Amino acid sequence: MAEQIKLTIWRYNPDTGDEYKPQTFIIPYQKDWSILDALNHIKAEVDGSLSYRWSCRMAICGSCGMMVNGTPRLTCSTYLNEFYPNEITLEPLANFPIIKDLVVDLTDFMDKLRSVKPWIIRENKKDEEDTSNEYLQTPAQMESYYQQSLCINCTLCYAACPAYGLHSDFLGPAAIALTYRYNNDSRDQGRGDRRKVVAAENGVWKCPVVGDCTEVCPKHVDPSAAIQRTKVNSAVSWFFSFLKGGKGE
Amino acid sequence: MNTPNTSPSPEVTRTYRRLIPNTWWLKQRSTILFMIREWSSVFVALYAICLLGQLWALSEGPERYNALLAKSLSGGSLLLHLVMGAFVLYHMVTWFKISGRIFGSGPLSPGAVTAVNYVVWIAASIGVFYWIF
Amino acid sequence: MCLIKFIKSLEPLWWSLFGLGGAIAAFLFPAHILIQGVLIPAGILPKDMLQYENFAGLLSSPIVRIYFLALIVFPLYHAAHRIRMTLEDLRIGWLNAILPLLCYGGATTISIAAVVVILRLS
Repeated sequence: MAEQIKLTIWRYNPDTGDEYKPQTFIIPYQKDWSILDALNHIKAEVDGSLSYRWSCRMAICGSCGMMVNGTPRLTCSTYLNEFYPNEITLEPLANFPIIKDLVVDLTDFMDKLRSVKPWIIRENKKDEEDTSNEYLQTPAQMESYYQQSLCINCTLCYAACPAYGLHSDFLGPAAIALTYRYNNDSRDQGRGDRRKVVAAENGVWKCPVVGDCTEVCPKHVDPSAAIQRTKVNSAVSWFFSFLKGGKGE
Repeated sequence: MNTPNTSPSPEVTRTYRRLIPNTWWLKQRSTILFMIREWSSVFVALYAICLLGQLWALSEGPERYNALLAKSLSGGSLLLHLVMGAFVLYHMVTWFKISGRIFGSGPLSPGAVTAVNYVVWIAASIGVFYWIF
Repeated sequence: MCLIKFIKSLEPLWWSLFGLGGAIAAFLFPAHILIQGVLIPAGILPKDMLQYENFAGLLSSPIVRIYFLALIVFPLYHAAHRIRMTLEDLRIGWLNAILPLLCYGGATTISIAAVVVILRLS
């Protein structure tokens, strides 16, 4: 008999009531299969009603994130051979509402991402439209934000973050890492615009520094460090604005 | 463009929300260590209060101070300080590690920043020994 | 509730005190605990450095008094902030709403006591 592997998948169907329950699939084990390959096999051969998101199969689109044995991972780059002969349990990304099966609702994340204006902001709006202008950057200037710019918005860090799970109003790891990325870009002038969002009560201050966001990031972004550095910067500018007679921010 | 959507799209209304139990932190090694780190602060506060007690006894005069000193030389006090010391050391290790991650960037690696922290700690400890006592 | 809102608006202040206190506790507490709490009671170091005359002599210097005040006050705020954040994450019901007041209020009260004690030593 060919080798087999057991996959337990937590499923939810909005049309048949509020049940959220596990279903077990026993499928052929192929040592070069990713978990996503196994899911595609199940959908094609076993149960066509299984829902999940995927696209690129090469860890760049960020859509196939799931809880793999309790840890958020991209299933396209997580292989069966890491677990075989043990079984694998798949759940939709933690901390997000479930739409169906392994598909979660990312609206909240998208709103938060938009709120930090993750694009280059210029004080003179004409700069943003004028495509003839070049903004030169030294390698060192690029180095200062490059790591945080690798984010693919896969939201694994939100699934790993206990603070986001407990306080859904927390801005969260990726949005703050991207704030850091644009604030530290020499071409950007939007730091002040973003401050009222990241330095608010539900911004950086809600982070208790567990550090799992950085651990699970498939692109080696370091949201944890970005958040703590933003705390230092925000505290310093708060004291300065206080000294200047403002009421702090 | 600048006003975010605040509600899920209309077709997504029957979503399922998983409840997080209050024992959420017991599920993973990282969150258990995190909890130990957070509660180490209770022992930090306890030691600060011990120091305050010592100064208060001093301000009350020799009688009160000597009574406290006698107590602080007992085995029970030694045990208490060993426990506080263990938690404070755990606080220190985690603090230096995080400070490496915050301030270590570019040519200065996180490990180097943490190492500098330990060097400063050793210097400060020797300083406390010679200057204060 | 207005007071809680005000306390929460001072988040950068509490975080700065937390950071300063955490650094003081990390760099200086181990040496103090080891010398005063372990090596002297265990008889490894002579106890005369803690005798009344010697300790009072030490505290007669204003710099040492300020040093001890900092050693007490900032770590208290460090602990207050961590206890508040952690209890909020453990969701202990009705207490959650007033945690900032309880924690920072507690640290402030003990800090005032520390200032009084330091002034009495002057």
